[in-house]
This record gives sequence, C-alpha cells and structure tokens, in this order.
Amino acid sequence: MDLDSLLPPLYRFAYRMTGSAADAEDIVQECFLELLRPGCSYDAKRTPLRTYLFGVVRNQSLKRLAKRETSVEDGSEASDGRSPESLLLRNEVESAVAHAVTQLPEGQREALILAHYEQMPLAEIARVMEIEVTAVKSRLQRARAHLKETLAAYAPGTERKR
Amino acid sequence: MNETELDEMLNQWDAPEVPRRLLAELHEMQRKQKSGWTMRWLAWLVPGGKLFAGAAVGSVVCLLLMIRIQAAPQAPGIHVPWTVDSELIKYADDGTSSVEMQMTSYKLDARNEVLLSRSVPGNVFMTAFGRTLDVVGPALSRLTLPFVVDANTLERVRKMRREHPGIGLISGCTGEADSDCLTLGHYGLEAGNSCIAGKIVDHATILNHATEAVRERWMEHGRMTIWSAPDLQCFALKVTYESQQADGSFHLVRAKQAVKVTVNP
Repeated sequence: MDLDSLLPPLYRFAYRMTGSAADAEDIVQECFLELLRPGCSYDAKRTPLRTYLFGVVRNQSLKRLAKRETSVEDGSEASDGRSPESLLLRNEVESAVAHAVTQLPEGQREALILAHYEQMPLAEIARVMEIEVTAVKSRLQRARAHLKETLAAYAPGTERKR
Repeated sequence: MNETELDEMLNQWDAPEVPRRLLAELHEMQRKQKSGWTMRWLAWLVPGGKLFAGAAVGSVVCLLLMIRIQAAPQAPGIHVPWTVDSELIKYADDGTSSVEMQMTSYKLDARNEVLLSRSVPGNVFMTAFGRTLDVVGPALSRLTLPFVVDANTLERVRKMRREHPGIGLISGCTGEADSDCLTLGHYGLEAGNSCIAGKIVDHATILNHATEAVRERWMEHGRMTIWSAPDLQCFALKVTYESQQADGSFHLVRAKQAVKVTVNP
C-alpha cells in the first residue's frame, strides 16, 4: 500500500465533500484504521484498494454531512461547516466555487469532485458511487450545468455587482 | 460560460495539503503493521486466512491457553437477559442454501453483540477450532493493539466512538472459503434515532419483535440490509447480503437469520 500516493487524493476528496479540514483528517484516519482492523471486509480479489478506500471515504463523508444537517436543524453548527476565518482567507472566486460545489446535491457533488478534481475515470466513479456509468455521466452534466448558472456572475468578462 | 471557463474556475478551489502529522501517523501505523509480529498474527486471523495458517495459530493458541490467558465471552456474574439463536446461511448461485454456522449471542448494550457459542454443522474440527479462536481472539487483540496503533490515534478513535454512538453486530463468516468461518466479522454502524442511522427501507416483525431495516454498502457492488429490534438493544434479527449483478439486479449471497429468542435463559 503506497500511502504517499493514496492519502492526498483521499484527503482532498474528504475535504471537498465535507468542506472541513478537521473532518477530512478524521475521515481519512478512520478509513485507514478500517483497513487495518482485523475482520475488515476488504477483498483485494474483488476491488482495487484505491476504489475501496474512496468508497469508505465517501460513506464516512456522507454520514458526517447527514449528521451536520441534523445539527443545522438544531441550529448548533454553521451551514457549510467551515469557519468564517477560513472563508475570509479565500479569494472571492475560490470562495464562490467552494460554496457552489458544496451546495450541489449530494450525488452531483460526488461525481463532480471525483471527475474534475481527482480525474477519476467514469467507470471507477460508478464503482465508488455504486451506480451505472450512464448515471454518473448524467449527474456530472447536471452538476456542471448547475455550476455554470451559479457561477455565471464570476465568469471572465462579467461585471459583478459589489 | 463555456466548459473551459468552468474548468478554470473550478481549478481555483484548492484543497489544503495533507497535514504532515497525519501522514506521519499513518506511516507509523503502516510500519507497525508490516514489521510487527503481532500484526502478522492478526493478518492470519483476517478474511482469506488459510487452514494452514489457522493450524499454526492454533498451536500457539493452545500455548496461550496453557499460560492461562483467558477472555471468556461471558464474564461471570453478568445477567444475560435474553439470548438469540441465529443461523448464518449461504446461498449458491442456483438459489440453494446451506447453514454455515449456528450461533447464540446477546447484547447488553447497543454497541456490542456478545457471542456465547457457535457451531459449524457437520464439522467438529471447525467448531472446536472456531470456539478456541473466540476465546483467544479478543485477548490477543487487546494485547496487540498498543503495538499496532499509537496512543494518539487510539485516543482519537476512542473519542470518535464516544461522540458517535454505534450499533454493533456480528456479521458472520468473513469470506467465501469454509476456513473464513474461523473468524467472525463484526460491523459497527452509526446509531440513529431508533437503531441504525439511515433511511428505513422496511418494517417487519421477527419472532414477535418489531424491527426496522436499513441498507448499507457491502463489498464492491453489494448491499447489506439489517433488520434491528429496538426492544433487544437493536439486535440484528435478520441481515441479508446481496451482490449486484451485471443487469443491476441483486442476488442474495448470505444471510443471518434469528431462529429463536430466549428470555431469561
């Protein structure tokens, strides 16, 4: 297992899914602990390690997001899980992109992050997300169409209202 | 906005670098896994272990028993309020089924399902060997854990477990080979409002106990459905494991099915 090559994409994926570096760290650590746990369900004959780990990170991220949604309903946590300080540190476009991506519906967000940021082939995304390749394509298209709309104000040559 | 402009805009969202501390911790875990004799022991106990390895484990298991390391599944003095007899069933491609194992277990809390006994029908050797591993396995895990995972990581995991209550269940044999029944798989799932967190896909009454079912991912293309009984500490009275076929349909591969609940055994 080559940690140096596996860890960064898993960490980036967890970070972009949850929008939180702390959550990403916990998720990735939990993911590798799961792999080292006696009785772990991973079967190398059935699944490439990378695909399996992305699947674990995906599930953990979704669980955390679900829990966060519950917390938001309770009014106990910020809506996107990121601190105001960290948002201030981003430039305006980066901040807008981060917000737009994290606001995408769950399935579209996963497909977009894996395809665009991790350059993962569609077939592998389908295995990670446990859906058909055609469904991945469709979600990806919808995500990109959605982002074009929400980020239109930031497109080159567009004058933004201040 | 065209596709290229969108790509360029998306590229402006950078993810932070992996913290060096995290990388170092995981490297340390991996190093211990590779080099530690203790982890090699655990590796023999994980799915896919061969009988030969099992026999080797067995010889040392006997040695450990001789030096009186004991971890009885039921500590003396604990009142077991109820037990559940379950069958672990394996399904062939043609739909025929066979009972891989029969087991009796209980739960005192939602997190831990405790095994009291188990047997492999028609296989005295596997029954005896499995029971020996049940006695020694937990003790071995406790002994070796500090050598496998560093203290900081352990504390983080413990903290995570405290903050995220879980529902535990014994999932059954860990692989496809008969020898994979030597060790039993365990799952820990996130607790929800009633039992397991997630969308409830079914309600059923099993052995006079109301259950609610949720679905989780299983293996690469599979799913597991767990029927938990809230009045039995979320005991999984039924678990099915299905693998997805090329046409998208699901094929039942394994199941754990409760056959008897005994109150005040």
